[in-house]
Amino acid sequence: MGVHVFSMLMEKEVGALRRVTGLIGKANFTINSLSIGETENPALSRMTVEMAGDERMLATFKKQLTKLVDVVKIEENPHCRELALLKISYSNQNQDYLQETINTFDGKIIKSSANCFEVAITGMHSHINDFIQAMKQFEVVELVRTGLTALSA
Amino acid sequence: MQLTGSEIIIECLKEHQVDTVFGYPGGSVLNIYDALYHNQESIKHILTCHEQAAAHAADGYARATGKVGVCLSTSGPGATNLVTGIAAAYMDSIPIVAFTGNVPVALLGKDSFQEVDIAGITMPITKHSFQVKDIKKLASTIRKAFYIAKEGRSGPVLIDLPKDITAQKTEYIKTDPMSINKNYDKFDEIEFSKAIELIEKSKKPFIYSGGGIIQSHASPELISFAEKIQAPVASSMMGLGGFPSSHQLFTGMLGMHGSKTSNTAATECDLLIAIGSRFSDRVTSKIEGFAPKAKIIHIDIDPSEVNKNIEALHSLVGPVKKILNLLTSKLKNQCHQEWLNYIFKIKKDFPLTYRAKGSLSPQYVVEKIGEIAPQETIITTEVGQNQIWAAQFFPYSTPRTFISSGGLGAMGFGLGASIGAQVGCPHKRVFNIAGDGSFHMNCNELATVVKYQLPIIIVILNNQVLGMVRQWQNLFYEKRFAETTLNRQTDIVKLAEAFGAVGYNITANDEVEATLKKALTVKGPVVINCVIHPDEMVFPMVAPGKEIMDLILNDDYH
Repeated sequence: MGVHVFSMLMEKEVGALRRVTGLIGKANFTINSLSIGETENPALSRMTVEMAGDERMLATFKKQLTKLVDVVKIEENPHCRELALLKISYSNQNQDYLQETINTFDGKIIKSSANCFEVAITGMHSHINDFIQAMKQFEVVELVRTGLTALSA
Repeated sequence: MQLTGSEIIIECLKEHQVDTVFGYPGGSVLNIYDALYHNQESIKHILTCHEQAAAHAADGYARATGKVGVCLSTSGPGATNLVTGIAAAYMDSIPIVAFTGNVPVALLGKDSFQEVDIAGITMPITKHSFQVKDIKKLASTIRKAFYIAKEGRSGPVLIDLPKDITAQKTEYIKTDPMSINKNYDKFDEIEFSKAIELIEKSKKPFIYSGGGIIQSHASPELISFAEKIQAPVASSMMGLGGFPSSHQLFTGMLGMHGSKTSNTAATECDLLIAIGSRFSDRVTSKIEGFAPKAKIIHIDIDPSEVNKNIEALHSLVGPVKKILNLLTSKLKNQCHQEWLNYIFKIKKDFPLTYRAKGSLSPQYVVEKIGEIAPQETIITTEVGQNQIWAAQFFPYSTPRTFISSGGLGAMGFGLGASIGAQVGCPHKRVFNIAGDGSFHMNCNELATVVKYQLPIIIVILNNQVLGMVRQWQNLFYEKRFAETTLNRQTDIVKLAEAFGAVGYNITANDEVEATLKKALTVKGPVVINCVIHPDEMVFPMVAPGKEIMDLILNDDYH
């Protein structure tokens, strides 16, 4: 079970997303993350999908993806970044240490309330993983990741 | 010129030389039917009893003529009734364009009366599906649909048309259809020279040809190629007719119901050249046992077929007609007499055989049709034993004469497909070889056949059981015949007559020839009910999970 990242430019058409996810399902891959958004060309959107599944299905899947009418261009393992948002509660004792740790990772406190920071962090997959790991010594109230998004290589 | 959406649809059909539409009217396609009414001179509409048959007919039309088949249905149930037909075309790569009506744009998504998301439903079984929500995009969408249906590996495309789009007006300018497959002029030179090297080195080459030969009009090129490299040629079921069965190099079908010769050749060859075929599980059976000694060259227009089911050492991607032409022109004449003698000996020692179980043998019926039917007769089939007997015992000699639901295996396909084939080829004879199970699925279409007085001869190989499933129950389920004993009380002759067709009943081999000859003189449709034994079997057969060399032959079983 390998993890594979594909990034593709697609026509902004109804059903384009369904067709891609339909193929992913047909190839028996599971989607770890998927993000889709607009690009410099208003007619195209870019989808980045991270999925896990049988290595042997990969080449056929990629060729089938190429055949989809809405898919303009596909890249494998592109340069990716990800955004994570976290709510972390703190006590008077560990507030400074928490703030320091967030700074070390280049995280950004976007909102702070009594005993709780809302933090945004961007970076490569591994960087987000490390940050989440580091936050586990505090109380993580909520955590969400956007999934990878990519520029063309 | 300002035209309504419906008029634009008609004009775009004319742009693509469409002269026949198979369909069934309804509320949301009223405008389109009104436009068809005004254009009866240029576009013929064939009204079926059920939309499924309209889709199968468009498919049969496409298979018989090589043109794009067109079907039309209303929204909701009309659209969902097309689904099996579209899936059958998709699995066998048949170019059809299906038009469906839908509720007006403002009512979409509101669970309106007879609304379904047919573009969504058909996503996995079409090359592409469109819903037109802007009248300005209607003409370009239809042109794209015809292009997609034919470009590369062909297949079905669906266009969903909300009712208001068919009434609105916009400017229409006549446009020539886009040219197909123009991007296939360059081939991978290295793969090409490597393929040539392999072929010239091979001592035991073997060709496995498929439906791509027919789609690509490459039958003459396949014959020249096979003769040049002196390789035996087997065919998948979809490829039948692509290589003349009377040709010395032909070894018959390959795979689950393949001949001993084909399955041995695949197992013993040192080079397997797959042409326009996709290594379906019905051909390969157990992958590890398929062509174990062979290097594989895969020639196909669809790159996603290469290495999908089986690893190929080299692949040539493009229209097989062009590729075969190129290969044949670059190759020197090859000679493998020892290999061919070996193959010819098996072919002589293990012909397809059958033993009489009852007084009327289904294989004999098919053989007799082969003897009596005029040149270029088209055989359509239903699915099951009837299909395999029709594939095995009729001597196909030209492309587009064997029409069968290979990939989907849709029972009920044959009658609809025969309507399309006969409408598309009015000067050819069409036989639909059926089983009683399949016939009962869509026999309502007899009304269509009668309405248009199509001289189709429907031959029901009637064993009163679901023969192929019963065969598996016989062989692998210790004769527990769960729900496969049909024993329908239908009087087929009376049924045929009730629909307005001619019906015959036969029970013995010596009635076959006279009955077929009589049927050929009838002007309209004929149904011949052939009463056969319930335990007739299809052989050879490879049991599920076994290697293709593990063939059960007729003689082994008896």
